[in-house]
Amino acid sequence: MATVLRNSLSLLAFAACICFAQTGGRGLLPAPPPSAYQESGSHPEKPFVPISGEHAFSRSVFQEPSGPANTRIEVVDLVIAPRQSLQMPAGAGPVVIDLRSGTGTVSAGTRLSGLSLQSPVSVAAGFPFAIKNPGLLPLMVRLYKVEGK
Amino acid sequence: MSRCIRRVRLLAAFGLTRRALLTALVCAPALADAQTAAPGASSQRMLAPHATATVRHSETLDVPQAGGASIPVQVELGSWHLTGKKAEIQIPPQGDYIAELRNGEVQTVVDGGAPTVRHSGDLWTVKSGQTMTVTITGLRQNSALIRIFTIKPQ
Repeated sequence: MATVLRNSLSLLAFAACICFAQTGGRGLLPAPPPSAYQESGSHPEKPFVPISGEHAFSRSVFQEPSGPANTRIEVVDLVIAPRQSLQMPAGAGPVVIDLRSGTGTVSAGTRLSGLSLQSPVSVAAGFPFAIKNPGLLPLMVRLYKVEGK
Repeated sequence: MSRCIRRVRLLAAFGLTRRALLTALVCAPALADAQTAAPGASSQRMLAPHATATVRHSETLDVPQAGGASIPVQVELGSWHLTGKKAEIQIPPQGDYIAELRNGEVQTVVDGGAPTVRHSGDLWTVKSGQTMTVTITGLRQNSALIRIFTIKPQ
């Protein structure tokens, strides 16, 4: 009888240990009431906006309407979700793609180039291109678009 | 006897060291040349006192114009590393460029104009022929990194 009781207690203790290990001894807190959500009141000056139909976000951070040699320059930031790619239409001018964080590749036509911090990639005018993020973290690139006027 | 053996060993070691030194002296310039000529290596140069410039990428691109013709332009991506708190670092004209402050806070004066405080992430343009004076003004900040996108007509 004592043996059965001891075995039962051991089983209970073992089950409790497993439950503790799975939840970490903690559970989820109850959701706060809607009135508890308060905005900070400050919004980013140039927020990222989702690109429709793509797993990516973009924001135009700078524009120079009167560049040298009758050009117009736009600086655009892109964020591409992990394991996703972004198709970009052909631009009116060349684009220089500079890696900011993450890992990625750029393909334009038959050319495939890897992005690295030390070697930006450029795409000639009139070529559509795709930026692929094979990594597990978001890929962030900066695009320098140079267009003629 | 043992002293004699020790002396011989010392002489042999010295001979080897001397040979290695001579080899290093002969090969060092060649290795240095190989390093500077390595493909893909970024070039570094003094821009001004307290300022070093590094070029990561340089390329000539064709920019189509509205009329149909294309204009070749040289684009460069690089960075400037500035040091010296409160020092007025005068950057000589570098052509047309877009600058982006990557850390801290600086004050810039472009071509003798009004001083402007720039924060991390700010972008601004400097035109061809303009000088820019940069002063590091951030609290406990002794250096600043500025990313540069230069565009020059060919």
